[in-house]
Amino acid sequence: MVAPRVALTLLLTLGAFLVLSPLLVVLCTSGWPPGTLPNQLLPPQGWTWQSYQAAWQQGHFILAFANSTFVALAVTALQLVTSALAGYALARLSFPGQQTILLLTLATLVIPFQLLVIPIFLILKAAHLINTYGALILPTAANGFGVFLMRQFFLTLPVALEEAALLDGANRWQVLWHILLPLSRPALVTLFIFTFIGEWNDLFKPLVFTTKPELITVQLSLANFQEQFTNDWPLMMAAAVIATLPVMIMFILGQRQLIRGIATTGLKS
Amino acid sequence: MKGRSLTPYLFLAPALGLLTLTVVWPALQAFFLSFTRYETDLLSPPVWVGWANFAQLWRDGVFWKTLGNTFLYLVVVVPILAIAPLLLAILVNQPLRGIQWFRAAYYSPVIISMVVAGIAWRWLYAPNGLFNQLVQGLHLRDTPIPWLTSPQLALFSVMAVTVWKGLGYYMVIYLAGLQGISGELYEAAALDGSDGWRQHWDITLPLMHPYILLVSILSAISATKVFEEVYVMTQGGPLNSSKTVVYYIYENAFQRLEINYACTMGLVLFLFILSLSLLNLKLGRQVEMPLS
Repeated sequence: MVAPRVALTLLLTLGAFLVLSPLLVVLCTSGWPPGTLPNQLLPPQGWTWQSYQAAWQQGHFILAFANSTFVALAVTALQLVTSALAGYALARLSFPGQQTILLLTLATLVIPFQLLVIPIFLILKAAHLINTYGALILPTAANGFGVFLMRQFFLTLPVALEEAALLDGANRWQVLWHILLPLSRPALVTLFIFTFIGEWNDLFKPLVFTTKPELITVQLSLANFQEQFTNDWPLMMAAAVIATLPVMIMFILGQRQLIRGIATTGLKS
Repeated sequence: MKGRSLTPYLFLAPALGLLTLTVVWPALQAFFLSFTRYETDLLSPPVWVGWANFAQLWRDGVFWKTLGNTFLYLVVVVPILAIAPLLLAILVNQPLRGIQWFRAAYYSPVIISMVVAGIAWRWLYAPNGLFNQLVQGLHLRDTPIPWLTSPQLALFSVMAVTVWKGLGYYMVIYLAGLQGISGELYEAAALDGSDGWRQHWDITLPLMHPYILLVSILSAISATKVFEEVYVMTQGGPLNSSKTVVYYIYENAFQRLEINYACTMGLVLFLFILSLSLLNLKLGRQVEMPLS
């Protein structure tokens, strides 16, 4: 049994190397001084933080980081609240129209954001929200996937706990807040990481709904950056690493949860 | 008990209110906008023009070109993303110490933003980049290959990024399916003399059929929405050769301000995606789907 295990490990390592090689090249290139033309096949000759310093200043990343963090946290908080509330109603309460509402919620997922973006733009314009944080937060503040995910998770929890609390005179809100949510950490963490990373990485909304420099987000800043410094590869790679660091850290901390989250809550009922 | 009967709707109100404002109403609005035209500015109400936008679309050579590109995207990317992640999933489903780190490694491109991925791959495709150095190092060619600047290659070069970023995502979906297969089946097969990759052919493939279908449809739907790769890497060029439908929608709506025309395109694209989703429902009853 040893030989196949070694072969498997080798195969997995080779695969991981191939998949990760673009990221390795990015990392190696970012250690060169700005304006140089590194050789991607050779290992880095020394390491300097010059490109990082230059990228941090020229990309206006302080502002972009602040904006992206604020927007991503706001969207994530709103999605967690709206999803938990609606998910609870769909999983535990019975009321007329329940099936229809569940189906409608799922149907919203089939409609591509790119079709909705123009009418949303007009709605935001009419509400004078273009070029505000509202334009970056409201369009994704609720999500059918989040509602579905929370519903699916609540269905897996035993009803007995709640019934005892209801008999003791707790209302539905207290049951959700004090009993179900503390047990729902896996689903909440999964939804948190998913939504935060999705929002952090989003280019479309800031590109279309904002033009004000004060509202620049990390991805938009990066996209502008690459237009401005087209051929300064070390500088661009350093900027790319800076922009990726927060989600990378979040992913490494939450990877087990995240992968299990997609594998279970997202797919199986 | 009147208050009690309102409770479910109070719980639903925030989510449904926001979804109505950000999905349902815009979707209806998009339908309406496709049959109208803004004459002067976006503040005065649009004029009804019937099927004029659709007629314009029918005659628009660039639209057909982008539709062809999106279709080519589907045909190339979907089979790769239906098969390769399954092989990866089988590999990372083996009981091995530290296997979760391999899973994380294969998954990591998924969490990287498309802008970062686009920038990274532009560097790999550069005249002195990794791919050209390999090609020249192996003496396959003397001059660098114009990966992103040749009309014949650009679209395929962009596809590679989509595939790279998609592998890990679909691998995890397959992994969920594989973990649902009972180990006893493999033991029984081993007794019958089926082992190694034979086992996967005999057991895994038939049982994973619903998941293969699911991944095909999911990757097909996302292949019809390709935008950011193109925006970052080629801007649709050279000569529209890598322009996708969604990129053309963006161009029309936000660069040429042809809002209504862009909506019409969006509607046609939506009908296309809807037919894929219906196909999904019709063929894939066996598995609970997240997106349908």
